Amino acid sequence: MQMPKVNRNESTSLHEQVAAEIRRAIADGEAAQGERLPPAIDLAAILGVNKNTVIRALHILRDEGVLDFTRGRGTRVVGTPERSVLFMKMNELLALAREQGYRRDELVSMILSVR
Amino acid sequence: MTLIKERPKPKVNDPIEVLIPEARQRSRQRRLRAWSLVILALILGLSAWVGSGGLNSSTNRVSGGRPTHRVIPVLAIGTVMKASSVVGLKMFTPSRGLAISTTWNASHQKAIQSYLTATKNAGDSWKIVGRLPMPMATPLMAFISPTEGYVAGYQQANSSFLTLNGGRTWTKVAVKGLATALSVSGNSVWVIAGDCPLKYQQGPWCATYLNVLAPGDLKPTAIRPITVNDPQLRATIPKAPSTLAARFLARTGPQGALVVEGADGPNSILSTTDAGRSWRMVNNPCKSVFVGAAAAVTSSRWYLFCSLDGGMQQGTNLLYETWNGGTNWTLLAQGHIQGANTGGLTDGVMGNFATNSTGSVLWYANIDGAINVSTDGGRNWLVNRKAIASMWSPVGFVSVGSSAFEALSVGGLIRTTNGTTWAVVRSK
Repeated sequence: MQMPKVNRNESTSLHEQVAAEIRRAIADGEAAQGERLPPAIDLAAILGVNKNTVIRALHILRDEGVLDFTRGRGTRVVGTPERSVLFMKMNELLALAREQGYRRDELVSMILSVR
Repeated sequence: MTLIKERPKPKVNDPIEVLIPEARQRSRQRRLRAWSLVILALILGLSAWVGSGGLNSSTNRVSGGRPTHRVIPVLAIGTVMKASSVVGLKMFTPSRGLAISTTWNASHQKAIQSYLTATKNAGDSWKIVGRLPMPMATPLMAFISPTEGYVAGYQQANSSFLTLNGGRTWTKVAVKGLATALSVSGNSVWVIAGDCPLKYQQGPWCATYLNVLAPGDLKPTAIRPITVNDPQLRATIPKAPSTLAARFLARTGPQGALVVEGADGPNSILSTTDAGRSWRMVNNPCKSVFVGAAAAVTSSRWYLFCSLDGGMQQGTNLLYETWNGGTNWTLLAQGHIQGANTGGLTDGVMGNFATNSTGSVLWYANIDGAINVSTDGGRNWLVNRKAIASMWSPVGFVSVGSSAFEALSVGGLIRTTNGTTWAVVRSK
């Protein structure tokens, strides 16, 4: 599977794009649960972004419960691929809704109304 | 008006196959490059160090055998030095102590670097715990504990320093004069320092000061001149200034000391019991013989060693004892050049003299290298052995328990564990 690098012209912020790329990579099985991610500087070099952008993306994924940071042990994958897939799809949905002019709370209401 | 504006067409960059494996491979390559650089730097550093002679650096020679120059590396903290590098020491127990160890140039004429070193094996080996701010050939030490203490170079300008962390860092201490002795007793550190006019670099025209410090002080709380202006002594020195050079003999307590005033000329023995605020003249049994050294067992029980002078070697060695602070002296032993030999005391020029804490064992090292030992309070003496090479001279006895140590000038250490048998400490 071929993936594009991040797109600076896209309305989605760079760190969100990077988070999406990492999420997708985990969902594709590039790093299994418990495995350590490569250093942010190397991820940044592959993606063509600044290291701080990757770090910000990693923080998002930690907040989502996908990654865990332990001092001295690096960044580890703690979430399942399924969880990553779900987050990835939700983010795509969020991006689509934003593109169509819907706010986040409107999208949440729509999801809650679905039976 | 439309709320949805047309978005520009996204520009797609070069695609990548996989993110995390590619990043991992890049990480591995980056680490490999970093390690390669570290190993290369180590190899280059090591080859440069070996080329300069390494730890056992000696005079480099060109093919014709002509000496070129000597490169002495600065030794790292933790490096073990031999006992032969010790030039001054302070023992806390018979096995544990601190020393100042110095590295020298090829001809042993110039000190290159001095270190504070520690031993846990009675001086067999000395591990560097700190570097001194300047090289010291003849250091003076006054340590209150293994971590807190003062050092100074003998008559070395701006060379008084304090450490509070076992030698890792040093702070300069401002004292008046050039230090000739450091002494610690109780909670009182004294730096005895001479202040000579440029015209008179030594002799009786130099003033001497007692710098009084409390542990941790960076400057003296009091600076007191050592003098009683002895009129009889003064009459022998024409045009004498207000003070005379004084030499520290012994500490007789936290507030007390014995000094000899008049340096190498006519001598007066002075005593203080109030940390140098006042000095009184003590009855001097040496009379015209040079006052060599003294040792105090208590505040009023002292030994006094009258010695051949170091120049013309005139006089004779005499050992006296007092139990009442110098009012009455008893002759214990006498050398044999002039008068009768009493107690087997030899007549070398006195280098150092000391007693153990009870006054039962006495040691006297002459500058020819012999150690004389008395185990009966100074009445009978035996020459122990020629323990010291004649090019070295004794620096000072350190007595602790039944053991005693003595550092030698230009490096070296002799030791006894039973008070009588002395031997050079030879590190493996």
